Amino acid sequence: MAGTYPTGYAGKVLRINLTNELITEERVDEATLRKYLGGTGLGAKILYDEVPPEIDWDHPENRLIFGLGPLNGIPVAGSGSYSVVTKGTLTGGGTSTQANGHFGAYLKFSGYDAVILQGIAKRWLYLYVHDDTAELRDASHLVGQDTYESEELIKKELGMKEKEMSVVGIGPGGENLVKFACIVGDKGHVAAHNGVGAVMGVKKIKAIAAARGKGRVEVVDGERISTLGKEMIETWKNEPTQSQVYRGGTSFLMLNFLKIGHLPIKNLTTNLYPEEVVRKFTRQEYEKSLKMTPKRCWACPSHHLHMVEVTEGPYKGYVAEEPDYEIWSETSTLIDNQDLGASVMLGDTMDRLGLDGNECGWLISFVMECYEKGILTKKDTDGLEMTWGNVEAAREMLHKIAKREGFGNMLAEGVKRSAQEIGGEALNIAVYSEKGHAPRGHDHRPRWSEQLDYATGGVGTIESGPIAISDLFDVDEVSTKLARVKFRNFVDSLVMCMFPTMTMHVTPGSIERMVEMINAATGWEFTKEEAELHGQRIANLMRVFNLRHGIGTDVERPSVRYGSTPTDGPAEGKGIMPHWECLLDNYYKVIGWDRASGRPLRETLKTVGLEEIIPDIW
Amino acid sequence: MSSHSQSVMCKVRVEMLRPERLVLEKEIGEGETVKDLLNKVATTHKEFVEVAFDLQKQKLTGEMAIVLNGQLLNALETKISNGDVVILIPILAGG
Repeated sequence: MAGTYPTGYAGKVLRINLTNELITEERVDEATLRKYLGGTGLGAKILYDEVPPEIDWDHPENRLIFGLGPLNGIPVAGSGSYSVVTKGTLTGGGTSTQANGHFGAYLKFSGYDAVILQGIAKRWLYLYVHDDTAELRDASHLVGQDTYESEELIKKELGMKEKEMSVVGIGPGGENLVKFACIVGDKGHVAAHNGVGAVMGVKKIKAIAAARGKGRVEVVDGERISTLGKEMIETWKNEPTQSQVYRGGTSFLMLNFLKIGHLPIKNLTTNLYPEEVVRKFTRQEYEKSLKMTPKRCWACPSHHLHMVEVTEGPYKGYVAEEPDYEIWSETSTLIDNQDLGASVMLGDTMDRLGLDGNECGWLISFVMECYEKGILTKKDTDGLEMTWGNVEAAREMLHKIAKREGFGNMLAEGVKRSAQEIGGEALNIAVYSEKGHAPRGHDHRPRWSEQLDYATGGVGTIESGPIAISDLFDVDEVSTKLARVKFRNFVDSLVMCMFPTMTMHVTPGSIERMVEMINAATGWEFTKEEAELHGQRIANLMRVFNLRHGIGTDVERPSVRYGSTPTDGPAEGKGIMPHWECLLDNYYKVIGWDRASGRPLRETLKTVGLEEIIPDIW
Repeated sequence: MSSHSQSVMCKVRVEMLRPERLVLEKEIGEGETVKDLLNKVATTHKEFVEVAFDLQKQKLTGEMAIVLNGQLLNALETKISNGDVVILIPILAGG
């Protein structure tokens, strides 16, 4: 569409039909941009409009959308992120997953606010964007390479040094359509959830490479953006809780979560684990033994992540990106591994193969418990002894999964489908949501808010918050607040990292700061109320998308083990299932959805500005 | 110290603050609750108010887990007694 285009945005959306290798550029009108912002929001709008219910995740007409918002690429921490939206593999429904790093900034500098991939290529390709130009290039030589290797090969081929380009792509997991394949960029930054890597794989796109170039993001008031950015960092450095992330990443959560029963241990068979072992996986301890080199995202001064080298034990010399909390938990207590170096190795293996660490962790722990109980034997597991803590067997199994080889072929379908395939007692011990995906790296059983979010959310992971809850086990408070607060969708539409923006936790002024940044970038008079409404709009849009695609209220519940009551530790007796129907009843009432069918009420859709989709479900 | 004959000692530990961990000991009266204890801490520690407890609203700020003697707490109205250990842990998670 001709005419003015708000600053902050690059001004173009790239659409690529892979079937005929046709590249076109489109513009989005300003009203649509203001309504959907970008990233998750605009992606959800495109997905809804262009992917009808009969289209499955692997159909050529599915869309894979890499989306940015008006703030990506500004010289402020958190603006290097991007959001991926598609119809995902595990739930068969809407998906929104983000990664930080540099790609969100570099794609904008290359001239694009979003990339829409559709069709299926006849040969393996990668997309190269730079200087307002996009080209598809042959990727046959990259097939079989892991995510680190293909990134290096692409940069070498294009003559780019490390910081001159950002590459996001898939490993063997995505190529082989593993249902929980992820997209990995900048060596270790992951858009993890709901099989986005498999969607990329079925389209035969190995990677997208965006050059740093000379581009910059035009904004209305650069000085104000700069001031707000500096204020944000100063606040982050000094905010009592979240400053820990600024100083030392997220590994401190290992110990904290052990104390409140949120740390996932041995496939949720217990909440007890030796504190001195868990302590080893916190930065405070491991910085004494790991050799650490800072690794920073676009414009971010924090000490969140490093490259690390293991200096002792069986994995001495192993170099990888420092795991974040969820990878630490999934590669240690969840599978009963007590060796720090082994965790570094397993996290790196997942990243390189392009497998989502969440699903991997629950899958390996599930197999280990099955093995312990005799549900699976060495004969089933291709000779691998899947005993608790056997990290080498776990490594080998991850490779088998990525190649869909032997027993790995079944596991490549994810926890739920593997449990269904094995049957019997396996269904009682596997940890998954009935929607089809495993949880994140937490024991959600005593965290009712996230357990409920996982069941009711429409994006293949969580979508609500940040919320302040006085009583973690108050049915009314948990469900009411979760239904009311969807700022997460707003932040994911911007697409800004939740750490520096402090939007993951309730931090006074954090949402208001994002709103002010939007206005300084675009010249709009965007309000916090619009941000709030935006979050609700996306939740409703994804809900309707999912309902039309066959995801009903019947799958809004955890598996038997995932919904079980902790039998020991700090959360002993805090079971959610006795309250499950009450939680859902109130959640539906507050959010304005029909309890029986799951449909958003007409009034609700009108309120959030989605009148046009009412006839789709009513 | 208080001359209140019924006063008892309750140790309060608050974690996840600035680099140093805030560890306090507070005196409480018989029958007092976790909420009473939080009020006492909040009057003497501004940091605590910022990260954990809103004095005006009488509510926790953010998503917060309270562990009383190793067990997750249900309600702030839970009574505490001599020798109890209360740990407050902000829940920071998501993504």
